[in-house]
Amino acid sequence: MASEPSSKPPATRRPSRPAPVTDEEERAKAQYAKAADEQYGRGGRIKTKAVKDKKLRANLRAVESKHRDATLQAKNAEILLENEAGFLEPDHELERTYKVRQDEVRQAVGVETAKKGFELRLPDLGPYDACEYTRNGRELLIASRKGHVATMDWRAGKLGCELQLGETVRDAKWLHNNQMFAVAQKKCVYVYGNDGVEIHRLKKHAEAVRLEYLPYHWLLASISTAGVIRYTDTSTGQMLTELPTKLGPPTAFCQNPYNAILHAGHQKGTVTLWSPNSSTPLVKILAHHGPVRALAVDKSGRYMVSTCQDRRVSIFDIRNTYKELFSFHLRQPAQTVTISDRNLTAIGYGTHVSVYKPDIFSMTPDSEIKLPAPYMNWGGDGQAVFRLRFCPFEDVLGIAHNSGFSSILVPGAGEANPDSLEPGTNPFENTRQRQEAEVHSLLEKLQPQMISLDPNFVGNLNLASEEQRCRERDLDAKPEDKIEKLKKKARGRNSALRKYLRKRGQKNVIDEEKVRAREAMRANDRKIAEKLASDKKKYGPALERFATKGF
Amino acid sequence: MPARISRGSLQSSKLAKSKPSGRNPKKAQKRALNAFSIASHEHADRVKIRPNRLGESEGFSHRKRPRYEEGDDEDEDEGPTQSKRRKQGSGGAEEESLDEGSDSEGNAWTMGHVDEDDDSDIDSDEAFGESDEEKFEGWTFRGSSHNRKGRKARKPRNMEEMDGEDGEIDLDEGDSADGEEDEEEDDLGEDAIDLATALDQYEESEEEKKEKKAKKSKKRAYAFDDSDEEPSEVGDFAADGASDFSSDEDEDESDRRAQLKDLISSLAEEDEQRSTARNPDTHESAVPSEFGVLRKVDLASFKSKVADPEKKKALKLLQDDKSSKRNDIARKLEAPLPKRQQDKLDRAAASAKTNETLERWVDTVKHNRRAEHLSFPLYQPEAGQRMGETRLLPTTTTAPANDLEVTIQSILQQSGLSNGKDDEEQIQKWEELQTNKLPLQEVMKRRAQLRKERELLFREEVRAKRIKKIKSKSYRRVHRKERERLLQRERDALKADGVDVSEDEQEYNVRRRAEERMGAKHRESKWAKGIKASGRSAWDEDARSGVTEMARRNDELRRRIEGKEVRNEDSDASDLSSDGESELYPDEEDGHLERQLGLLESPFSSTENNSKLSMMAFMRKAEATRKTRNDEDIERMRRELADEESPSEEEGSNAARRGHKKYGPGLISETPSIPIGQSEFEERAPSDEETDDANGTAANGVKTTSDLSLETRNSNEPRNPYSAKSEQNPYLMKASKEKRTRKQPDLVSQAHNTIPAVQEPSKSKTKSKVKSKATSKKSSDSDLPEQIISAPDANGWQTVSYQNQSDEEGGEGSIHLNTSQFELTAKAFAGDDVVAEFEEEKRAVIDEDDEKIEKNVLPGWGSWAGEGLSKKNQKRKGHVTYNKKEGVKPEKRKDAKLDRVIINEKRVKANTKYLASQLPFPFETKEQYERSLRLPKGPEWTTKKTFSEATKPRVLVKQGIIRPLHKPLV
Repeated sequence: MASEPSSKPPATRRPSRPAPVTDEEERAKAQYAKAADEQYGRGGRIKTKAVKDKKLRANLRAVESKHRDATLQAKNAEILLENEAGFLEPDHELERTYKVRQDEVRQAVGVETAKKGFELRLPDLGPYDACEYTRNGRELLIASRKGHVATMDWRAGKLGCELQLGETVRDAKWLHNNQMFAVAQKKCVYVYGNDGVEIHRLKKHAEAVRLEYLPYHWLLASISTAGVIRYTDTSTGQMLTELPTKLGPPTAFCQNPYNAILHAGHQKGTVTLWSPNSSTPLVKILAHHGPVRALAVDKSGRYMVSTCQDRRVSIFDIRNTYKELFSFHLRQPAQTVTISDRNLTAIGYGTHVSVYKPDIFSMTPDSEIKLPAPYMNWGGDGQAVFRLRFCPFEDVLGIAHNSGFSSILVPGAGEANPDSLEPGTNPFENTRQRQEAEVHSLLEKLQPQMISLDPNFVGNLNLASEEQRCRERDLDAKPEDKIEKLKKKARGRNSALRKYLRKRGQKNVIDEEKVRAREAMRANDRKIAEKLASDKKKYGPALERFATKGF
Repeated sequence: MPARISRGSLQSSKLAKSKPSGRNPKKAQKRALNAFSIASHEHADRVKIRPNRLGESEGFSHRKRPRYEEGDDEDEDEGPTQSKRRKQGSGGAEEESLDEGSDSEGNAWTMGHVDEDDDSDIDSDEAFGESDEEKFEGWTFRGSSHNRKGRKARKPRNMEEMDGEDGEIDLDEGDSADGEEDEEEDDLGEDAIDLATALDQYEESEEEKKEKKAKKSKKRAYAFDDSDEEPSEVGDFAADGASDFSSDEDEDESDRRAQLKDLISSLAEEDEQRSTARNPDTHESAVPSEFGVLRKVDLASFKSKVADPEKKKALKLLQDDKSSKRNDIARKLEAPLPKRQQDKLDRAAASAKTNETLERWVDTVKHNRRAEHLSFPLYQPEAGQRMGETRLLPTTTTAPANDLEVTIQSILQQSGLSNGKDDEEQIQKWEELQTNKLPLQEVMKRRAQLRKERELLFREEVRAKRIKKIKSKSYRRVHRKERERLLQRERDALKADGVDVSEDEQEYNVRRRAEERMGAKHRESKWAKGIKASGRSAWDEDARSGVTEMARRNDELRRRIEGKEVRNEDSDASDLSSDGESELYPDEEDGHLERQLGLLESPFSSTENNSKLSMMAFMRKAEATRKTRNDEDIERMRRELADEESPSEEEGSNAARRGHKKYGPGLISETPSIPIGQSEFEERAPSDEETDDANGTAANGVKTTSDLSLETRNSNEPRNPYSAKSEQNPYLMKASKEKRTRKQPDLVSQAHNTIPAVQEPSKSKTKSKVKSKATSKKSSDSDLPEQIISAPDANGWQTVSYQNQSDEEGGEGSIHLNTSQFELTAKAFAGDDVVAEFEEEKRAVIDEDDEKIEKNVLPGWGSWAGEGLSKKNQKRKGHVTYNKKEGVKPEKRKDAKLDRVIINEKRVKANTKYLASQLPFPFETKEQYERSLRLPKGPEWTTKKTFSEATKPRVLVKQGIIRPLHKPLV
């Protein structure tokens, strides 16, 4: 029928006929490109037409076309993501996925997958406050309040190490890989090797309540009972900063994986956002009326889920508006929240665990659903939940509760397509790869100064006015004392001072610097000679020949 | 051209001798030589002429020089010749000089003339031919006077040809050059022109000339210039010159030129008539003039000899020229420019020319410069290609290309297999001839016929294919089994009869086969394969006979075995029999069902003739019995085949039935899955019974579902009561539910009102509710999912709120409870007014960040201190200044419109380390710059292709010879 009217005026229509087809194709192409741009394009395009300089215009055009190609190729490369993620699907309207129990899930899935759901009954060792997976999801770290710390290759059921610290343990965290983990103990934070040997004692991290590890910056952050956030660079072992929150004992602590900003929840319902570069919080949000109990930020850094003592769970947009997008009430105040790689939110409250689908992030205050139905449920049998963690790249949720640890299967939770190029996140890595990745990530380590709310700021234009820059410049700073610096530099046989004097030239020109350098050198020589003499004396006549110059 | 011009200068060189200039002769000579070498270089492509030219070059250069340089030194070589000329030159010295000087110009003129007429090349050829004769003459003359005549007699035609080329080139020059070669020659032409124009360029008349140039086409201007010197030429313009007379132009200038040219040609004619030997003398006898030009030429002396009125006119003009410099012609006969100026012009022209050639490369160079990546060696289409690399060479040529082909061809021909292409061609030719004889209609008809046949054939083929496909696997299976069964039965029958006579035959056959194998002439043998591979049978008589023999025997044997095969197919597992089988198969496949069955019906029909066994009595008996059985079988099989499609249906129905049996309750549980446009939230509305049922089905599987099915059956019977209960059946109550959901807020508000009353007994109430629920409904509820049951056990009201998701009443209750809970929690946190505190804090921050005006006081500034100050002075505090402290205005804060958020407005100094302090050069705006940084380079963020493209070096040098570009690529 549709073709009939077109056949009537053949002379006019015929030539135009192929056009719609190409139009359609074009449209499809454009749509595809648009989708690619939305997903992979980084920021909006710039208008090249307005550029006057020819060369610049050509360059910018090239840049744009490269962008376009890159996005299209990235989109095309999606076909390489061979694994699909899926959820439990109800057969009919009345079926509820949250009524599916773990044993049913285990029956339904394959044997190997079913093995991933297990339970560790450790009733005597006290409530387990912490459970953590390594970034590739291979190993598990659990820590009980009474001081039992254990690591394991949970899939193989192989115990890595087990520690009975006999001290209050508040938190535990893996460092960059499965070789080290940090434990927040009663007084300070300790770093243990994967064989359970204590490697470091971070004395300055006093009374840490919670730990966070920023993998790309190699920073271990802790927040203490007094509410002080401390950063330690784990690659150098140096303490970076101490940031007192001045808001009393913290109630929650988490990091934003998108920009490495730390979120701290406080007693008065505020959530503060911290970077090591600023002594004041970057953002302060009044999230709740009561104490914040738990915080979690999704992978894309867009949403924050916070729970409050008043049983409320709120979802905030923390990209732009810092506004509450949606909130609902639980039956009990939630103790812990975590968000999976695919944006499944698990909330542990009382003895229950509820997992919510990602649609809770798309809800708004005026959406008709006031209480979102959970995707899955767990618990209710007397095991108070203390910590939830999703296992990366697995459909597994780890639950640390008062009588041990449970691993449950949550279909659709894990990212199905791991990115093996990202250091530390290869679930199939072997020792060699792990070592390589360690070195690589160390080489590619981001500086703490790069932490900012907008992680893409690096390289952008500094928009500060000259006045402002002047103000920022430290005009009162002492000029660097060259000689003093050289004195400390001890390199090789020829001291830096000697080299300085030798290379400086113009021997007959005597200035203050040179005099000082000479004096310093002479003093140094004298010191060495004295030391040599004293050494000789000390060694006695027979051994004095073993006395050496130098220190 | 330059050669010609330089010849023009020949005369002036004489003049030069008489007036030697103060310049360094050697230098000048050098320059002149250079000029010529350039010119000759550009003419390098004309190989033929070159030797001549080279021979001439020396003289030319010398002749040329004085012309430009106003009386330069004369070469020693020239001296004698010139003196000779002088001697020879009789009274008409001016005439001679005229003739000589315009030799080359005469050419140019002719050329111009031709061009104006849009004439063919021939004309110009002729004209040039004439002029070149002159050229030749000059050359010979200089060499030796003896030779001259002989050569002159010999060479004119040669030279004509050569100059024909010249003429053509000149023509090209006049046109906008097309081909590259033409353009190259263009250079020469232009150079020549420049030189010629230079002759004309008198300082005074330069502007005028320019005007003219602008008016006329370039070429014509050149021609014109050339024509000025025409008079000096007294060459061999014999008959040709006269022919040129015919062309008259509208334009004055061209007219005049034409006239002048004609005049000159006529002069030449006369000159020739006089004597050829005298020609050289013209040069010598010419009186040297100031510029070595023709000003002193007395054209009037020609007057008497000129018969043509036009010529006379021209001469008159020339005469006028003699009397006054200011008339038309005089302007054209101007002194050459000084050398330096001339050189300057030359250089300009040369650079223009070079630029023109270089410009052709501009695009290529630009392209390469702008290219993102360059890979060396650059792609050059023709470079380093082998023949036939791009273009396919014909595989079959008429003649065999090499020895091998020749031998093969000969073998083929010897064996009479092929005459190569000839055969086919011949046939085709013959056919064509035949068709040519036929009338058109006939041919058309034939063709149509042919087409039709082809079409039919094709269709038949397609149909056959389809038919072949139609048969199913089961069809084949059935057939095979049937066949086997028959065979088995037959064998059994034979055995039953106690005779196994076939053994003899079998043995015989086997023996024969073995013999054949020994003879190595069966199909799989080495010999056969060899024959097949080499194709020797095509031409080797022996081999062919062997093959045919093999085939025959093969066939024979097979036929024999086939005869037996019907009875015991499985016994012969040999390759031969398998061959037979494979050949049988197509038959089977192609054949229709009926035919197949027909065959089965009379399995012995084919064997009867072959086998003598069949004639025996017992065989017949057996046959009879078999036949009856077979008939039965066939009948049965037919039935089966007829039902072949049905099984699937049956299966389907079976499955359905089975499914029905299996999922009996599921049938009912499926009915709910009639799509209802409900959100999850809405579903909570239906009554507890109903939803509990649903829960039961979902969670408890078969057992409960069976219960449910019972229930639903029960409920289905008393339909009305069920519906009377209202809101029981969610599928019926869709509309009403929506209403209810809309109502819910009201309920909530009601609940709000009732909170105080409800609060106390809430717990007991919920418990009772739970109880009532438990009692009201089935016992099967007891094994509902743990969440539902255990939760109420743990905490009464919690469970209710959970039930909220499943039942309406509960939901209502939970709303009560939730609201009460809200109240409670609100009460719990009522103590600290968090919001107010936060607002306060925010205000403080805003104030702190805001712009401020600071008051600075310098005490004692501008006032005196000490005793005896007035009170007023004492009160003075000092110098007060106000500083405005920059800050962020409250309305410009990032959190200005966001309540409950404080965003830090302080700059994070540490971050500035990673900021660009200023906009990098080529970028104009911040956006451009930042955009250029946005695309990551690393392999972690982009695809491999993008990465490799982004990191590819700009210049790639691969192994190979890097040749310069030999022509522009773009």
